[in-house]
Amino acid sequence: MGSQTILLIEDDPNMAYLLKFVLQREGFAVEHLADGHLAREYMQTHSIVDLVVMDLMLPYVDGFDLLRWMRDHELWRLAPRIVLSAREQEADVVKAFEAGADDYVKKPFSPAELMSRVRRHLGPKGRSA
Amino acid sequence: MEAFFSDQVLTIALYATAIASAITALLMVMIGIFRWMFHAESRRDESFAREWQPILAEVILGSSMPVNTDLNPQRQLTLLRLWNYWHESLAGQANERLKQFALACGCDRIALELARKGNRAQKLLSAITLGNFRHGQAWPFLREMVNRKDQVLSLRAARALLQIHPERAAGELLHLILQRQDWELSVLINILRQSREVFRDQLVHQWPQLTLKERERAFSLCANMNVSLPPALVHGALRMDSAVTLLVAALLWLERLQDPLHRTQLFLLLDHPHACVRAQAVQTLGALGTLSDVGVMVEMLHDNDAQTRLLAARGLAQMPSFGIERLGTLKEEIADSRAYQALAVANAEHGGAR
Repeated sequence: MGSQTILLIEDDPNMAYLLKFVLQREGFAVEHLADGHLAREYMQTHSIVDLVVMDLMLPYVDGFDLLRWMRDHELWRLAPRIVLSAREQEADVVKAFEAGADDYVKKPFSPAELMSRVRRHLGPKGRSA
Repeated sequence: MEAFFSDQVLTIALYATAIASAITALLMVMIGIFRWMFHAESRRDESFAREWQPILAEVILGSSMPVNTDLNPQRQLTLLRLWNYWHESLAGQANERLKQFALACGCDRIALELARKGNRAQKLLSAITLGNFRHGQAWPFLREMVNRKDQVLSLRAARALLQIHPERAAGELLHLILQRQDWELSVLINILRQSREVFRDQLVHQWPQLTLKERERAFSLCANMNVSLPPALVHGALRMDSAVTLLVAALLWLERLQDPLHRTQLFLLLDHPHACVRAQAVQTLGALGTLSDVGVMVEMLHDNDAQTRLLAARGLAQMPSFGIERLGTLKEEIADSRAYQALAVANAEHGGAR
């Protein structure tokens, strides 16, 4: 578990700091990108990571578009995708799952709960086919 | 040369240019100073955040950290802002740990002081903080803020009061909530979301004392928050002799909540002398009507008011028991040209065949 890499896509610097802190404390390597455009560029030039944690409200490229891009990509669709968002309407949650999210955590959130979901997706059965 | 400078107009123009240049230069200096101050403050905040973020992150994860109560006023404000941000982003045990840490740092004392003596921005920050602390001692300060004309400050104070003691706040603030038109509905709905039930209870309790305008706004709020109301209260508002504005507000509520208990009154209101009441009644019937109501809706296609006819047609299109195909058929069979027009519009809106 210690060598697994998580891609964090979050534009809020304070939130990004905390998430990175929590994930690194748990032993994960974290790649942080602050907007959707940078995220897409990264995914086009790097091999897939073990898990993606991402916000929906991102600059330049919408989080839903990013999810759909990953879902339709030959390799990146294999990385589990956890959405962490303040958008709490049922329609947004449904839309995120339809776009390819594997999990959805609403803000305000519990770091402990987020970590248990991360561990569940990264367990022996965590990688989606 | 002397002739040149003896010209009075030229002299005035030269003086005016000099004064304008001096003012421009002064403005540029002031802008430069404000920019420098703004950037200096941003750098201070960033530096403070870099120092405190690891500490707060450790607290969030459950490590006990030494507290620092020796902060200068500027840093106290930055800490409060940072703490409030985290408090509103996190839930569960992490949030509780953060709160205990903030109390140990004296943040509640700082916030009370700001509420007492601060400027507008500081009072705003104190209202947010004291609400998040659920700090009972803040009540008189927040109560004073909530009565101010300042829309942002008064709303924040209202939110804080509802966080501290929902029942008491709902009771004391009900009239303000229903009277202040500058308090936007969407913001109020967000604030009242956690206190829906106590708000409802207070509303029902104080209903007899409410004015007509307050009752209208109450229906509007309840419709948007999906709050049910006692049948007797709604029945009283849906009487034929109620004020038109109240009837429309109550019918809108009924449309949103789709409470079948008031069908009889709804049917009676389809005959109301005022067109806007009939129109809203038809719209409401379209939302909660069943197959047995189709005949009534078809009758409303012959109403004298164009809006009512159109809403009847739309209502038929939306009824699961009727549908767009039958609408198209009805359109071809109906003799009344005005009803035909309404059906044609509704048909087109739903992409029906021409």
